[in-house]
Amino acid sequence: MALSLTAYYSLPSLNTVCRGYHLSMTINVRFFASLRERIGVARTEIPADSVNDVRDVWQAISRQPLDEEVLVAINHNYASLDHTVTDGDEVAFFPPVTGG
Amino acid sequence: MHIELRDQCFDPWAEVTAFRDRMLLAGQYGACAVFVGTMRDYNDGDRVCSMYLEHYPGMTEKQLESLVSASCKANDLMEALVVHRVGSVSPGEDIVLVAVWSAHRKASFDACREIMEALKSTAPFWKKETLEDQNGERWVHRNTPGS
Repeated sequence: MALSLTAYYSLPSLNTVCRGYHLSMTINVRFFASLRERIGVARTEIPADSVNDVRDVWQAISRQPLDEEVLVAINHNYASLDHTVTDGDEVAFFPPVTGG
Repeated sequence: MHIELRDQCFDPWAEVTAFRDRMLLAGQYGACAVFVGTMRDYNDGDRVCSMYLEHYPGMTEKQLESLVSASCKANDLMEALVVHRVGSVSPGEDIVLVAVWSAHRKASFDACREIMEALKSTAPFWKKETLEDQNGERWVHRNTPGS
């Protein structure tokens, strides 16, 4: 499985630069808060044809077990771990929220 | 309905008054309930000297709009205002304001709590505290239940 695991902490993502070309072939993946620090990646991309669902995306990047408490969003909406992912989706992983 | 994220201090009471004067007609509403959450200088037995509030731009606003809109509809509210801080926050500064208006008090009381609890459990914000001792940092693991 070919993976691009570059972390973009402050640089614009390739999607910003090449919007339209890249979006049709990749899944955009984001990590927030303590998960970002644990995985060591804020933002990355993986080929859309290398994964089927959210669980695959996590495994492809983190290479570690998925905690039950990890929350997932696809395109800014909460989603389940077995939700299918498709070209151009933004999949975000984050810990329990602590606002307010 | 108005939702706003702020990266600077705000005065919740001035916000409530200004919003009411701008958005509501005197004589039309009969109740207003307000919740203000403020940063403490202690947490879990430690002195906290500052905090950073991370959020997920785009999703945080969307989630807040969704939950406030649902509560407005469910409780037949006339108006709702939510202001939430992001970025660096110091003890004593207000973090969140929820203000709602309705014809009668039950709807306002219920909606104010409902919005606050939904925000606490679903809005993508994360707090990282800086502790006084040795300047250590830690993520707040999860919110305490509100009831």
